[in-house]
Amino acid sequence: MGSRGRALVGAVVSLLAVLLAAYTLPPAGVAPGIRHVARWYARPLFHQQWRLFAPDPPMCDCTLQVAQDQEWIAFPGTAAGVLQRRAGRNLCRYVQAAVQAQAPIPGELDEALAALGAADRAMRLVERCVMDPLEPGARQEHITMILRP
Amino acid sequence: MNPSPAIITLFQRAVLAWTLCWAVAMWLLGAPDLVTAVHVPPGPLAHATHALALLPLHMRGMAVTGTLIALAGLSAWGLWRGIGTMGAVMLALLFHNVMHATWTLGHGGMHLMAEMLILLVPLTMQSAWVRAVGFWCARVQLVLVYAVTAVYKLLGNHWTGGTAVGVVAGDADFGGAWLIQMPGAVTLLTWSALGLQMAWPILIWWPRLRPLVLVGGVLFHLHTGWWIGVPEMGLAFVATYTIWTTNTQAQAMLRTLGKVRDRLTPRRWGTFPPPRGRRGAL
Repeated sequence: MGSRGRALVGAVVSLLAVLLAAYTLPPAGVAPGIRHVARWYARPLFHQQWRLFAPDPPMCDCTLQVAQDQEWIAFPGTAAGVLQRRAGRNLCRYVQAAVQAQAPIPGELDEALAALGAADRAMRLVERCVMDPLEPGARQEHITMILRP
Repeated sequence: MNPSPAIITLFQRAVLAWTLCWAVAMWLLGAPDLVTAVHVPPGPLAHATHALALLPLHMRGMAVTGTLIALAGLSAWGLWRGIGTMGAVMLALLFHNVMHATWTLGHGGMHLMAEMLILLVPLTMQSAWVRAVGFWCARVQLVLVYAVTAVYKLLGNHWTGGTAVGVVAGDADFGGAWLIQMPGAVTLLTWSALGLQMAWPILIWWPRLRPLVLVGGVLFHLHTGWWIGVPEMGLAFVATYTIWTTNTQAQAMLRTLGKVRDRLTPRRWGTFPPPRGRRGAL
């Protein structure tokens, strides 16, 4: 590859890297116009976000419970398979985000909960929240009833 | 600037091996039963990347099973005979479809592998400059992962304050509650993780420091993957690290893998046929 080829490769890779950076970096640091172009480029095939435990880890852990025989039991429960438990954990974080945003549970989320076995069952979110980051073991419990669509 | 064929071959094999294991595991563990409604983004590409999500719901589970089997078969074929451009395109599309259809199981490792499978496409092409673009995009993608997460963490309070690992360890979802009894270790681990993620995108460009950075990253990802209960995420990072190896390291790893493969192959099968074309340069 000649010097022109190297320059072309460098230019293309730099452009794509800038677009991906504009898509994934905090919005406050990116001009809206560039972010719009970046979203157009990255969203269909290169969608990604790298915010696991960032900017801060979640201060509240997260458990879903469903009503059964006038009791609250863990959902999807310890008898569920590995992937069911993982799906339950991910869905719980989505429910938690909706509750924190005081938004209704989106239809896709409710359908996913139903597919895991929570169709037509009363559900509540149980969170144990860190009060002082220097004492992460001391947590306060919050219970929120989930209003499903 | 020109990517070494050995690095490309090693990277292809690592990505294909991860995809094969992931597809088989997802199928055996019952991922098709977890298929549910999906938000389909606008745009014409959605018909390619979300084709499974556009099927009627009662057909999606069976379609995901078929797609996982096709993914496993295509990856196994690619490992055996090398993969061409059409195969790489099919692999990327099948993977994207399963990933979107099983969005409730999503994690960063799947997103990373989805990007890398797309970048596998230019790496299978004949044009030297197209291969170079794919190669450098894959390298820069890994750099971006660490740079972006480091920027986000620096904007928070608990990573710079040294308490983040304690908060995670106290979370019932992740375990490791014993760690919160040792505040010194919590601070050390928090700053070490942040330091690694800040240093990785910078130090990786120095060939002399690269082995140290890669080994540190491998240990970090295998440990965190196991800790948060998503081991395949850690393995996805380890597989994609192969793009940052040097030509000598890649050749040595391919020779070792070749010896292992020859030992595992029953003699009556004979030797594996050589890969076709230049995509199997080694």
